[in-house]
Amino acid sequence: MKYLSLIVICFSTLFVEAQSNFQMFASMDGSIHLTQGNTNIWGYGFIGDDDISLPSPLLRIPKGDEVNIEMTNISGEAHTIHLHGLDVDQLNDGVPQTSFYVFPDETANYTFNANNEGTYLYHCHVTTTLHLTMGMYGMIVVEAPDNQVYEGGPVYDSSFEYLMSDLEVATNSFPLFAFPFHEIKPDYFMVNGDSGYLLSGLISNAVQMNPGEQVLLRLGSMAYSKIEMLFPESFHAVVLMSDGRVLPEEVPISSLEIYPGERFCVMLNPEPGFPDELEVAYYNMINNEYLSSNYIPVIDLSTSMNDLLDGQAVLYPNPSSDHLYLSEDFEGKIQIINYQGRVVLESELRLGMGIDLTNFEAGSYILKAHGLGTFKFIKP
Amino acid sequence: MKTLFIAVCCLHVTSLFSLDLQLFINPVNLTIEDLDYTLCSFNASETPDPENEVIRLSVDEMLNLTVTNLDDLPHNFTIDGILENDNSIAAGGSETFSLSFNSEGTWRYYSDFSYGTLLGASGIILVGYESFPCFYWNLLDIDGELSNEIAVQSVTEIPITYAPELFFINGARYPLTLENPETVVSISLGETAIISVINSGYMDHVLHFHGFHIEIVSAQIQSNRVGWIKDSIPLKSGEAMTFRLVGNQVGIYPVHDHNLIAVTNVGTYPGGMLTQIQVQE
Repeated sequence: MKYLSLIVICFSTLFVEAQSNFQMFASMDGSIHLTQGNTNIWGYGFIGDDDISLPSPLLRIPKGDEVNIEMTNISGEAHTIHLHGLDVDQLNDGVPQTSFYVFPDETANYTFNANNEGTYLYHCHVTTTLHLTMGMYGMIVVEAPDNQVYEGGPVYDSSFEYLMSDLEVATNSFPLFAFPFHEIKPDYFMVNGDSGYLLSGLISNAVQMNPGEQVLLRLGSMAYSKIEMLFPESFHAVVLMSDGRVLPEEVPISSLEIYPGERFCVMLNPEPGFPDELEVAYYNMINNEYLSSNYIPVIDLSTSMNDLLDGQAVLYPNPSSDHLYLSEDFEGKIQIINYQGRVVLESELRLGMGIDLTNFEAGSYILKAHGLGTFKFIKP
Repeated sequence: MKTLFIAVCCLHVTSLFSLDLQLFINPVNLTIEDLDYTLCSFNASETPDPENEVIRLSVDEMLNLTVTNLDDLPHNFTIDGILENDNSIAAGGSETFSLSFNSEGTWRYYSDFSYGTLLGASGIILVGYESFPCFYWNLLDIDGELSNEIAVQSVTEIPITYAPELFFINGARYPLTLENPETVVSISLGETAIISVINSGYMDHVLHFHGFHIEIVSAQIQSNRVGWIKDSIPLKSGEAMTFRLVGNQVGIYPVHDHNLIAVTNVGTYPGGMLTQIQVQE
């Protein structure tokens, strides 16, 4: 009997699925900084975060995980989470008429198995036409192991996620006056919630890559507009997946239309001298009229050291395992961004002060010293 | 049942089967939420109906089609790449066309005059897939005031100010879409359905499936997407596509335009281009 119990325990241990758990809240009390001021947003945040963001947080899930999203509604109206493209069952679909509402002060759970790698979305499905323009959406990435785009597929060196969206400033500023909903006309156009110089001026928004690397872009749209993304030839862009499924064959592209709700995995294999931006154009879905463009910054990591030398500002010692210094007389804000494009340190640097790298993981990083320049360094 | 699938007979040397069919071009007047709309449809009878007739054929089956034009204006019967010339039908007149298709798929027939195209005189031809349950979605966006001007030819093309407020699947808006058994995809667990879709509207539309991915098995405009498996599928204006859906989980799942202004009825949500997949045990 003892042996049988042991076998059962071992057997069940072997087949316990890994889990991804997210504790989130839904709020109607947020704001974002636009190029021309602030406006209201509704959205989701992680429990423990101070505020919501637009888009809502990226949910990154290893393929095969059992996923639970616990959502607490701290707002005054009902909301849901629709798991867009994940083919969940009816109960977890987030459509209130066929699953359930999450009323104010309620907590609900959405569960599913992340069976298919790829790029997905989540959003509120209550009065969707309004709640989406207010910002209740985010991206979900289901990752195959070992930097494979999909199991058995090509491997990438780095990946970046871009969620296109838009809003009508008047609607967000005065949502009570949004009716009739078919007259919502977006007039502010975003990539990862940023627009104009707020997008192109932030290194954390940049695609950062070396020539010859395989760089995966995960692209999705929650816009009311049609998106067209332009890929100059030197990026050698090919589409590998759409909507979480592998295409029958790779599709080389010079431009890519992304309609509302669509997602794409696009691999870049840039050649030296590639352009320093990617254009994202927005078109009116009703009459196909061109509306606006945004520009995602693109950084060539192989030449950022040259920028450093030309600027005669020197990071030393580089590589460094404990402290890093700027030789220039510099005081001000710095940002350090890891290879995945995430800001890992934001700080004020005083004259002569070193940057403590002891808690940094080994790898390549970008340091942006505001007003001085952008530099690459390595933590061995 | 709007689909005509008449018994076949051997009449033609190059085609083993033939289908004799009569359609009528009818002006259609609607009043919805106190707004007047003028549409135009291909119907199986002289009774005006905003839902255009579906033509169902087998591969290589000969279609012998007589079209009677009950409108005051001339029309034609156009299928892109198949029938583009010698296809006019005078006001009050009748013409007969014979044609066949040598592969499975969805095509769109329509009247190529502006007051035909822009008023929804546009229907589905589905060829093949006889062993599957088949469903039909004919998408149309309508600006009521403009439709009345187009009908009297005071406007002949869509202006930049186009502002549709109704969005139809098979001549109906949600929740009326749920009353048409050719619109609601109702199948058993494990069953494979064929969905034949055309975009008769001026706008592009993008259909999002909850609960399922579908395979695009034919496409007239975006033919490079045949074989793609997706949950959000753009249909450009004039597109004709065929989807294959496997009902691999039980439940009720919405399908809707993810251009969210099109899931409204004159501004009210939910409405418009919204229907369901229903999979039973």
